[in-house]
Amino acid sequence: MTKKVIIILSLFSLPLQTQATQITREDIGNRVQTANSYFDAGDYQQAVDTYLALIDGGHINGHLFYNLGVAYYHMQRLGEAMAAFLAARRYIPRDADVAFNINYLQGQLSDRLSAEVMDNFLNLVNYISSYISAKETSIFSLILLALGLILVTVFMFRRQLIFIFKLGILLVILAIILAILNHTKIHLARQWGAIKNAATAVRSGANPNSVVLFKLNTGAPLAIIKHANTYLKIELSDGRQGWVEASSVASFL
Amino acid sequence: MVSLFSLVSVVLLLYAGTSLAGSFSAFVDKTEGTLADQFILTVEVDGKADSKPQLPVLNDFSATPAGTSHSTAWINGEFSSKVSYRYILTPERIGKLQIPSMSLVVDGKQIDTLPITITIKKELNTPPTITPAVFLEREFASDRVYVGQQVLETIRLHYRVDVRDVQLEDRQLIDFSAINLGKERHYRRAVNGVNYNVIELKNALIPLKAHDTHVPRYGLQVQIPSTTRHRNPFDDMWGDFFSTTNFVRKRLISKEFNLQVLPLPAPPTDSIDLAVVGEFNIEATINKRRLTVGESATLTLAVSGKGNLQGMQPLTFEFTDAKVYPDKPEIKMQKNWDTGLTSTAVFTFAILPDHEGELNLGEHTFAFFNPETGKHETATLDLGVIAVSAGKSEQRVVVGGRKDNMPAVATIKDIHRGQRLTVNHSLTAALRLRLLAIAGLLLVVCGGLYLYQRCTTRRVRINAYRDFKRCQIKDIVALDRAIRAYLCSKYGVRMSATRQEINSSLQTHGLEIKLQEQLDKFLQQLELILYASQNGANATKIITAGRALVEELES
Repeated sequence: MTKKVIIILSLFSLPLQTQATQITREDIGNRVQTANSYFDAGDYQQAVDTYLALIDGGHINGHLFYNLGVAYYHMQRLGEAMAAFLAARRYIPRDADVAFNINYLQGQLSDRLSAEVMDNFLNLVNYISSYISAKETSIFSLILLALGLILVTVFMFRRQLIFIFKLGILLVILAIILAILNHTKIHLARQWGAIKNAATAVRSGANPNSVVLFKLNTGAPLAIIKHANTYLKIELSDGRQGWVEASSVASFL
Repeated sequence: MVSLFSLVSVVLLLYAGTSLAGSFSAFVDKTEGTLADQFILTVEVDGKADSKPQLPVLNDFSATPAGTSHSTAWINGEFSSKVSYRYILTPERIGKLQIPSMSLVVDGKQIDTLPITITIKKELNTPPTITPAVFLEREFASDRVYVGQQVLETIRLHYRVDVRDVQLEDRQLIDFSAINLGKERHYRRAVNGVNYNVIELKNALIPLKAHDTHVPRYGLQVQIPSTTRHRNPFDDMWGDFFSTTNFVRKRLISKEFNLQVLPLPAPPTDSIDLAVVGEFNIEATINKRRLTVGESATLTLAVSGKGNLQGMQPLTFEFTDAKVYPDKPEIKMQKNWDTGLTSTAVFTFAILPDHEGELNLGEHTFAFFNPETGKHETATLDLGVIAVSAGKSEQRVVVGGRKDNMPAVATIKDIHRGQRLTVNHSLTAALRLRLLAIAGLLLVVCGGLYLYQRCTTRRVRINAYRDFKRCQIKDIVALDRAIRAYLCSKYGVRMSATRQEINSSLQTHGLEIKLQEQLDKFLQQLELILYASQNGANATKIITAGRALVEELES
């Protein structure tokens, strides 16, 4: 019996022992430091290249996107800067500096558009979870599950604690709902980006012959709804939709 | 005889020839009148025309189509048709006015009409009828205004008979901008002892340039009952078909009005904005008087008063110790029937101090020209000071809302440093797998514990059941312990629980009432044997009953 339990536990603990990282944390630290040194020296292009190389290498970090945005800002590439800050917001949603810089950048842009779209259930989920990242939500739901299971286990040994049992079941259900919502958010949430070029035409269709509905200026934040060849379907915070050339939009993951 | 016949034949042929030739003519009902009169122009086409006759360009009249009539006839076996086009002409000025010649090809021949001259005379200064059926009155609040100053124009249509179809005529105002002050008002009023119904209209006229000018006449057309039995053929036939009263169209025009428009006097200083004319007040509000560096205060300046602020230049501020971000000004104009136009302009500024200390906002002066006093005036406000303390290291900014339009910091925040940049924030597939593994592990542990607990309790219960069955009458204490151990194992009842506690616990587990009662009775009898020193004569019977009960519980 004991042997069987040990075998089962070993099987489940196998993924925990895997070391999937190709680059070591020390190596990442060194490269981040190098990028920051470029930034301090005023070589913003080198800093951007180094940050982007880290991101392309699979190191996804909200602070890295934030630094990328600041470097782009100093290069006066406001569209890319806004897109990088919006990407940073996705991974570190409670960071005050990110909110600060988005707000600051918005104040400098011609189009007074917010970086929030609130028109359907999915966006409501987005809004509720805008203070917690996907990774944090996953860990939180796991903690809830563990807590719920512990309470259920306690009940097994103390049958008279019916309340504990009910609470445990509630926590388990909550953890499952949270995990499902998080999964939905990861797979269906809109990707945010920003306009790179001034007076970018937003068209009614995904081809250059379509009617120009309106124009957007550098840095205008937008949500990407759909990709079609070289065009992106976008939605703005004021509800307007249209198609823009993908090359005119900056967006990071 | 032959010569007489020939002469008659020639005359008849000539007559036939003339009767077959087409004609095109134009004539008016009268050739003299005043500005208050209307003239009916009739254009007749007799024959087959290539096109519909077109009115020439009329510089001195405004023309309104008044209908078309057709007539057909057979003359000497030939079909002929005549079409009459009628127009109502309204003269625009006094003098000899001309309707130019018109051309039309009729029956293949081009025919030109003769020009028509109509003489429009000045209205005679004969005293009007003391109590006319309908008349128009126009009043101006002043005959002397400054450029940009509004003057109220009141138009009153008085009538004491039934009137229909009141139509205002368009007028060309070149040197004025006219704003209607609202829907017309209806009331009754006595003029020369006769009660009239009055329709009153009011406009605010704003002169655009300084000169002595005539404010154009105001004209309207109205249908009033005819005083004669003659029926006007141009009246709406169907409209009056069932009516016993005939209505005629009448044009009413106001007199010309001479308005003296004065230029604005030169301002005392060059810095004064000349665009604003009226009587205005200025008010200021500031939402915060104490700030930290990096925080902003909102200053709102509201200019309001009688006059038009639409052309006003936005107010500006500059401080050496603070940045100022103006919001889009809101200028609203309200219409008031009695006082004319009043306006409100609201200017909002975000003030962002650069460093700590006391920021003196100083005085702000708003200059305007007051037409009532005929002088340039100023309204001055002391905006006071803002106390600025040292800034916080971080400030949370709310994204969205009105303050979005204003930058909240003077510069962008610096890059992040440290170990936090080395953590991977993405939810990678490996991480998901790990989290799933942990969840699975937890479930397995929990399930294992459940199974272990279930096995343990079952073992205890089986032992208790076995002990119970083996109990003899002399081991009545062991019997009690065994039944309690059994209940503890199966229902979580404490070993030392009283009968009441056991009952309530069994109730929560949903045990049948009958079984509960049996168990309670059994426990009571056990207690009697154990603690009341009762004779155990019935002990065998009790044990037998207890065994049956436990069998039932176990099943």
